[in-house]
Amino acid sequence: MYALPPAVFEGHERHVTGISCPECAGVLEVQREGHGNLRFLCCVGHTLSVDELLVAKEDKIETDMWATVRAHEELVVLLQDLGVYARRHGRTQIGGPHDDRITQARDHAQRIRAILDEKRPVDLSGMGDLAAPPASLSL
Amino acid sequence: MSGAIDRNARARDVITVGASAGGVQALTQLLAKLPAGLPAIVGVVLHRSPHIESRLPFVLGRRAAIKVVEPASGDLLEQGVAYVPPRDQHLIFQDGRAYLSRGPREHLTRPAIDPLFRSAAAAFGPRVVGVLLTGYGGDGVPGLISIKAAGGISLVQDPREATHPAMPQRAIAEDDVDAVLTLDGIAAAIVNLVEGRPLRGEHDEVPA
Repeated sequence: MYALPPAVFEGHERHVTGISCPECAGVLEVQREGHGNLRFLCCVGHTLSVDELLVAKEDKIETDMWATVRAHEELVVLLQDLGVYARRHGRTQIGGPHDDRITQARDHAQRIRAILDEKRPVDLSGMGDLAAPPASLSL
Repeated sequence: MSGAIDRNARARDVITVGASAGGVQALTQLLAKLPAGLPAIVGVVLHRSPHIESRLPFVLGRRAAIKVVEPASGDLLEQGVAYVPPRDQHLIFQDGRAYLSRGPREHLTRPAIDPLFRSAAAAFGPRVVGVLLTGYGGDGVPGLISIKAAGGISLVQDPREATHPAMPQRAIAEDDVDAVLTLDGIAAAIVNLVEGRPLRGEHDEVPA
């Protein structure tokens, strides 16, 4: 797997990358222009510079990891509540026992939270202070 | 750099301007320096939230001598008028008209500067002057490159004057811009270019 196709290091033609558009998950292409600026373009027309692509990929990681935390924590409470319901109404076929999975999912959620806590997104200070998408910055 | 500036000594009558953070103040100052009835079409894109109405034509028009309007899509382009897209829409110059588009976001934003610069370069070629002002991010830089490639002129705000220098700095780093100027210098250069005179004036500076 590669992100930048070797051919983009030479020439100025558009080449398919090995990564996806952060806006629509479409095939992402890359092109060198000017003094060597890399411009990323996808099949429907989303366009990004290098730092915008990095910001978007970092945002995707952040969003998806929290979604994973939420999925684990939802599974824990769902299994717990189904256990209570099953015991009250004798519906053992949905009630478990799921204690091992509850313990494991709770542990995994905590470990992903710990990763989120220690995660340090790529520092773009040297690339022109693109700390947030431009739309949020003016007016 | 400057050797290429008056290569055709022709009138440049399509002025496209892009700005991001710090842009309201910079655009207000720039537009205030353009004379009423300027014989040029002006397009202005400022990054802003798609969720909040900014009444940008009113804000930018308060101190401007030229007309500042939000066009309806398909309006004929007229000289002496500055066109500003509404929030969440790209502005595109094509076939002598202003078009509004909710096409794909570029550089994570809409309106973006590149669609205006790119479409103006395709439609008007060497008649276009591209101006990139204060801001963050990579928008506008590919557009300036396309304007220059089509025979137009690229002007960039002096990063030392810009409240957010990253965008003009990037334009200077990524391509051979024609001039790096203060806002007052950009206004003077626009008037010179529109009237078919060379760009060079006493405000010119070499990129930092």
